Amino acid sequence: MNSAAKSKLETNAIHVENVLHRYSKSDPDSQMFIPEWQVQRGQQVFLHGESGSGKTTLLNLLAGVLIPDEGAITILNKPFSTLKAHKRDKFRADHIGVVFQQFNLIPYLSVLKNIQLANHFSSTHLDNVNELAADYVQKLKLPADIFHQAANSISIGQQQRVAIARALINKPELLLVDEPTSALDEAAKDAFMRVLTEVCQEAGTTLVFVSHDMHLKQFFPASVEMSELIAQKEGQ
Amino acid sequence: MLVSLAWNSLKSRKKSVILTFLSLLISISVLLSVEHIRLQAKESFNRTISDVDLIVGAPSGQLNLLLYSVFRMGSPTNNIYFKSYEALKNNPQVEWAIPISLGDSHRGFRVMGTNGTYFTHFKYGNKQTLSFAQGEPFGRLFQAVIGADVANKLGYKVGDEVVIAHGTGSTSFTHHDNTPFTISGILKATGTPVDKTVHVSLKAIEAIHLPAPQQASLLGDPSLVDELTPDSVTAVMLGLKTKFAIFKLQREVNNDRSDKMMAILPGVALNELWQMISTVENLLRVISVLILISSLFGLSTMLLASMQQRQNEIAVLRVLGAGPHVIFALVLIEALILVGLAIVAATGLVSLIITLLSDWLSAQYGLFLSANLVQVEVMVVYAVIVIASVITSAIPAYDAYKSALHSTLSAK
Repeated sequence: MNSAAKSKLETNAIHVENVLHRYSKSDPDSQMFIPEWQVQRGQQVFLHGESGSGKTTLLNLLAGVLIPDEGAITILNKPFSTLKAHKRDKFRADHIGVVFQQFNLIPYLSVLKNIQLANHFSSTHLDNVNELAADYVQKLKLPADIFHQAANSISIGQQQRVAIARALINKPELLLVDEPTSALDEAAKDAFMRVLTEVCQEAGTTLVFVSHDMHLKQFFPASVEMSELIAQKEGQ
Repeated sequence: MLVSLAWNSLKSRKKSVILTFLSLLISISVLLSVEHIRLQAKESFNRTISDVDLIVGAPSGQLNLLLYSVFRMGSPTNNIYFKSYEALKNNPQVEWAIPISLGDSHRGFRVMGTNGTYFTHFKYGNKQTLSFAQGEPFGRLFQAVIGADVANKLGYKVGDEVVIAHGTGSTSFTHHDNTPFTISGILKATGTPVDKTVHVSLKAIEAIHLPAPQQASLLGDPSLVDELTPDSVTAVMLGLKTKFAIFKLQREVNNDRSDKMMAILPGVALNELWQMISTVENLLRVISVLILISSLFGLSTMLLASMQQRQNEIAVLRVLGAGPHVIFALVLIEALILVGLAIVAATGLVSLIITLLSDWLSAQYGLFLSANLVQVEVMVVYAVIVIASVITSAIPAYDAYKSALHSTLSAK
């Protein structure tokens, strides 16, 4: 490997190489193969794909909740997909933030406890979780008194924004977001997107945003189609 | 953090959690009380009498004799002659003999006629003799010494007058009103049926049963007291000079042709009593263990049923970096919190119930229970409960572990 290639690798937040995922053990044809995909550090990428195109599966692979059957995923220069399970969990807690479509929060805990919980599982034990959380709450345009409300008592839009605060509390280098706006109305969607991209920009966080909604593409400098990533595995 | 998470999770499922808690509370209480009563009953039985080698009474069964002479339960079937007592007392192998005469009561407490040897030679617990909290043994005819419970319950003190009733019920229609007794002494608490007894002299027992005219003349002329000799006693407790003589004397007593008598060894009779009770007690133990197991399965079912609705929660914890073992621990901690609280509450409840019922239990069954549950054997029960709950809740915890392994971001 020459030095140019090496330095390029170091600036990668995500590097996917020859990754094969089989959906089912019994049916070898039902699989997803990605020859190569890279996302640079600090980049904000819109990953577009129709339902069933495998985008959530890819996100699961990137988050290390699924492990590729073949190939390698390198996250922040760590051979993420070959780490031992508990190391992968730890790495995720420290370096990757995740926001789902919905149900991002533990419903019975307060907003503050939800945010504190994220810090609890990471090795960056912050002394100032509460101040940092207050800071995000302000940036995400949430009411200041939201902290002590139960997570299931606030609106979906607010829950999604709390989820971002929760995902960012450990200052992760990578934020994975899966259809976070699907439960929001149009106006709330735009406000949410602006806040999300701004906060990530400010923190220098790499953002991978997955959606089937082409309308949201306008908020991102770069976008990629799921169909472009996937290829037929050679020899099959 | 994990404990607070588990606690909040339990709080979020209040209804099913409270029902499970109650079921655990009841089953653990049952188990604890059975175990506690078993241990305490054994101790309480064994401490009732000590250092008495033989008890001699009218022939019946050895349990019957033991029950009425020592536990003051049931009714004496028959009496033995007073001269038989005197013969026993003068037997060269006998060191001391305590005569007892039963059949009367004072407001539900048994009255026992005896003499001074009772206060010097009767032993309970670990060879402890009786001692006085106040006053002294009865000296004059109509004096009585009462047990600690009698004094507490009826608020008596030395110098008070009491009237004895015929028969052993708490309500009686024949009162020996003409012959009130003055309390001369109050015994220290022993935790045995002695506490529930009113002690008077054998002569006093004789005197209150005299026909009215003779009684009147007796009351008029105290010198007649010396002529008062009882015809019979209910039983005699014997202490021998040497333990080797026990069986020989027992045989002699059983074969005595001058009076119908039987002699029993209190230890052997206690053992027989205990064995009779232990069958029932083992049955109770089995039942209470079964109840515990069923409520632990209830706990496990409650946790398993909640797993379905907690898929999202588990997915969230997973992406936050909680490994499957953390999810396993979380479910286990929930179960242990619930069981721990139930153990604490059950201990409190059982202690409270025993405190409230102790008077009734000692009066009805001669059981003296301590409300203090913290003993080694009960600790073992606690440990067994905790281990059993860890085992049963490992099932839902493993379920959560597996679902954590397979949980993905697309949790819906």
